[in-house]
Amino acid sequence: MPLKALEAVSKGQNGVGAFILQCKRIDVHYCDWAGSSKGMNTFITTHLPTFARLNPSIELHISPRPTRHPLLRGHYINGRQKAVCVKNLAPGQILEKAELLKAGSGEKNQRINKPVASLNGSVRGVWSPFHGSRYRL
Amino acid sequence: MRVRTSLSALTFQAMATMPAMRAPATMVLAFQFAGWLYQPPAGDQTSPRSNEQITRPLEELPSPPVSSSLSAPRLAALHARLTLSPRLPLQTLHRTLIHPTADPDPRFNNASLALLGGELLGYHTAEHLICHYPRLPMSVFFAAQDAYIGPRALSVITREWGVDKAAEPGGEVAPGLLQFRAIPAGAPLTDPDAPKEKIWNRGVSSRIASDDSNPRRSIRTEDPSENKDEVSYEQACTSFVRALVGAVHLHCGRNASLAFHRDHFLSRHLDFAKLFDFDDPARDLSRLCAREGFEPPIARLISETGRLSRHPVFVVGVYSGRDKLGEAAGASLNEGRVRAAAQALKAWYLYSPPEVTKPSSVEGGETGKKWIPNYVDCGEVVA
Amino acid sequence: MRRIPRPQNAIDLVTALSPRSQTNTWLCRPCQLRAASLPKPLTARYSTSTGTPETSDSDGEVQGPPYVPAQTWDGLEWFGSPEWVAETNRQPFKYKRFLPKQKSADPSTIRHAVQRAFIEVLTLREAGASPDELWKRTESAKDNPPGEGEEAKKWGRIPLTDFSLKFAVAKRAMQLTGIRVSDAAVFGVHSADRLIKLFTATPKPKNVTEKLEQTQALSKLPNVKVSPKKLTEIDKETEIGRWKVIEYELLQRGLPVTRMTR
Repeated sequence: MPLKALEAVSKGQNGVGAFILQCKRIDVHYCDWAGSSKGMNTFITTHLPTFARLNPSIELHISPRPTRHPLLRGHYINGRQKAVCVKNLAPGQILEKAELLKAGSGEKNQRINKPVASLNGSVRGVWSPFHGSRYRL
Repeated sequence: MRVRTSLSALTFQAMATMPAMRAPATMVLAFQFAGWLYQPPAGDQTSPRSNEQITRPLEELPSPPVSSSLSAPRLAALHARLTLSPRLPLQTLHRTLIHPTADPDPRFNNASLALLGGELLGYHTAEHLICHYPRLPMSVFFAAQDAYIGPRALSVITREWGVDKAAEPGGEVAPGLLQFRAIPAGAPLTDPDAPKEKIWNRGVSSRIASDDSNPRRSIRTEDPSENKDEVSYEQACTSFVRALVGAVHLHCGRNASLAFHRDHFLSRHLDFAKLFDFDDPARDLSRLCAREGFEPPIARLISETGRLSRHPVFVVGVYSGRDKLGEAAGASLNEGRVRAAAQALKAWYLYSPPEVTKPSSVEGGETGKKWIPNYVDCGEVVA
Repeated sequence: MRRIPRPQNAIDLVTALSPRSQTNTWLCRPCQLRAASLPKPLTARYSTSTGTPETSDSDGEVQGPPYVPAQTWDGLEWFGSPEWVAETNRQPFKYKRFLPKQKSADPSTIRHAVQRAFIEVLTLREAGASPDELWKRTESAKDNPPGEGEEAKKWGRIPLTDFSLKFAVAKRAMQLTGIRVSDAAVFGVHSADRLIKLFTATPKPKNVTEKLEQTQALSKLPNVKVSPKKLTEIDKETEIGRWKVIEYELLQRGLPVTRMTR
């Protein structure tokens, strides 16, 4: 046969076409009894409705977790979760944590040393010793 | 968000479930169900005899009731995540997630929508590939199409969209989960008692004629994958994505359907050069030049280094007269020659005209675009 | 137990000397006036400072011949015998609810109930009867209390200074609506409008779930789900459809399904 083809799967480029927010769900856990949940209880009635309205792609589940500290747990598309304990925080601080969860990718916290991650090696081509001007002694 | 409710879907649901309609056995609050009327449980709940008779009606349903899709946060979140138009109702989105193995009723599963969506997906992808890469060989074209919209790609896309699968299908499952009956772990994929069939290899012409891109699927009288009771996760994802494409086309129109395809499928990256698997590229290049009327290809050594070392590099170029068709480096002279010929063939096959007019962009006649015929190639080299 | 005679208290001698001996000197004048309209406290009625109990009272609490302790047990009632136990158990004490189980929810219904309570109590007062008959009747004749508008405003401005009237109305309104209002709250109310407000006011939310119900902040958002109870493993498994399979397999093996199952 003159030509065969190899199997492959196309790679998604989030944002090139459509953008999919990686945070798909946030669990909001509060406690009616614990003092550490005071800020969270206020957050649920004051800031959370606005947060939910501005982020319709994140499903929010609010449920009590009695006798435990208040918690925000984010679920991501890569299957990982990130839990943030918000004990004794003010409602504004809890909103910051919620925004932190929303902006995350779900990957583990890692240091990124390079400024750009790309599928293209370079714009002008990778240097090769066989092309271009030769060094002559 | 204003969504259009699907009256027909609600009517079908009412007709299908009227005899068994009872309140769900879950603890919910009245304020959560704006617009959904609470129905008190049928029958006396106080006498001890009736307590034993209380069944859980939702588990008896094969798929969740259509009305439950309006109060499902997962479904609403998926709708917003894919930035679907409000013209696509939540009920239809819910329907796209139900595979026929979960619910055989054609009014509540995604079989019909998947049929439409599969055709649309194939059409849009094929016209994009053919218009932008007119010289692409058929086997590579099929591989590219599989890479964009094949079963494996669609299952990856399903996961990237944040759609999880339900462990078991049922009426009590939260809407927004992909519901299908999975092949049990360890179960044989083919019937071991069935007589062994002779596998006929499928050639390219046969695949073109039957619209089947799978090279390994043998010619059979009936497709064994249809009307199965259990399917794989990949097959369920495929039907979901196809059904969603079909639903977008039906509810949002042709332009929205094209935009959806462009944003979610064509935006994906595929290196076409990595799809080619040559047998004897030098021979193929020679036949191509003969056909096109070019001078016969001659491989020339452009540069080399380390001939007597353990890792020599020979940069070989294939020339047709004074024009260089292709160039590549190899560890031996022959390797360099072969690689250069392959590179030359790739350069020929991956030609992309600067401007194309896709047929779907002038479909119907109202778009205002003028139809300019695209470049059509005579075909690949057949040795 | 027979009553031990107590020697006279010094304070009693002092209060007996002054002309305002019958009133409480630690209360201010307005409070004394209010206290005068209230019935006498039990301590005053059964006080043994003078050596003999009060035999007659305006309330008629203590009546009959003076108490003479018995010398033998003839003719006295026996308690605790097996026959007495059997007798008591045969006729169990049926506790009859005073307040209805179902609380009224509609504010207009509550307002009408309070107004009806007013009418009934005032009617009985004018007839000279005590409002005790009202407590026995759970459903009285349907009166037509005034609805919205000017008449309702006039209704509201009726001043309430008579304690017995106010508490009778409050008690009757509680009986009709099922909503409990504390005596301290009724004590501080001086107009009919305020009394109606006590009944119709929504109670302060005790927990987050109630607050969310009242404010309805998250109810209209489609991507939000509020659970009033803690989510358990069963809830999570039910959501993905696996619970029915788990339950079936446990029952097949005769294993307990939940911790509470025996």
